[in-house]
Amino acid sequence: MDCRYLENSYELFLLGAVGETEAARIQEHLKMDCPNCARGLREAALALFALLQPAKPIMSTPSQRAHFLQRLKETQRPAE
Amino acid sequence: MILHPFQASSAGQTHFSLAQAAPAKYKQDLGSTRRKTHSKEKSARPARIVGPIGVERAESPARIAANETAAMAALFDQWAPPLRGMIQRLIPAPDEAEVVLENLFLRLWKNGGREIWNEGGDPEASPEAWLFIMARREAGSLRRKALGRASLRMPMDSLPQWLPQPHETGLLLSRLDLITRALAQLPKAQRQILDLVLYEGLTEIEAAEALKEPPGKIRDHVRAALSFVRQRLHTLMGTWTADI
Repeated sequence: MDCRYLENSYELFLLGAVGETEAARIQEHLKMDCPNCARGLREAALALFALLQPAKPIMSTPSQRAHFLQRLKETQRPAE
Repeated sequence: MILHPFQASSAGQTHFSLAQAAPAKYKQDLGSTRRKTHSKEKSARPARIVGPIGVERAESPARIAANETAAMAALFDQWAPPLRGMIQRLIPAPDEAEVVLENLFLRLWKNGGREIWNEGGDPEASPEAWLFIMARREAGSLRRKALGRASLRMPMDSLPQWLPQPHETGLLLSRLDLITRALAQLPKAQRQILDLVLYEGLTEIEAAEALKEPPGKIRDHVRAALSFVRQRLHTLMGTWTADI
């Protein structure tokens, strides 16, 4: 099945921003182990990683870091 | 302090130096043997970038799965600043953005990293790509809610299968200045629409409504912009990879 028409939809699919019909088509291809869609999604994930890089990272303050570490220590994992 | 390659000056200008950023940020692995390399050897060919200092890439999945809080803290230290910068573009309130950020890392922690490494995905998949995409999805949902927009149906069963590997994200970050310059060549109209989709959480149809343009035109702009981005990435990263 030709999936070239999907090739510019992968980023939106990863963001959950494609229509249901288009999302279903992509998922259908992936269930068939479509190598084009798998490769396209991998490239799209990298493209999103590039597009989402901020011009200005915001460093953690000591209190933000401490708060996270506290929550980390308090967070129990579900039993295996 | 571990810094993201992009560092903004107080004047808002971005500065990037590969010479400064890459060695400070990444460990370099010149082969299976972790020998101490001489500087001449390092400069003779591009090194394979395997990950940021502070995160033992090869061991991260195992260490996180083994309940090592230090590994998770290292992951947070490395990626929280750029993630926070991204999330705050969608959720300007710092406290709300921080909740999204913390919950994302804790979600990874609770399941021992299985969402990235153990669900049929690549065992060498990059956690940072997962973090950025999932953070954008979460922040996008909240952004939409704040704007009174309906939540999107967001099927995502198999993200791990499509995550890039750390050497790819590392390579991308090491070339971020070039990539950013290339992305700046996007036509203004396309960039504007892409920003609406990425940072306002709009669908193409909603972007069309916001801009009072026909949906087909907006759709074409979005697809053209994404195609442009992928082609530029392929060129900039492909050329580099060929030298490795």
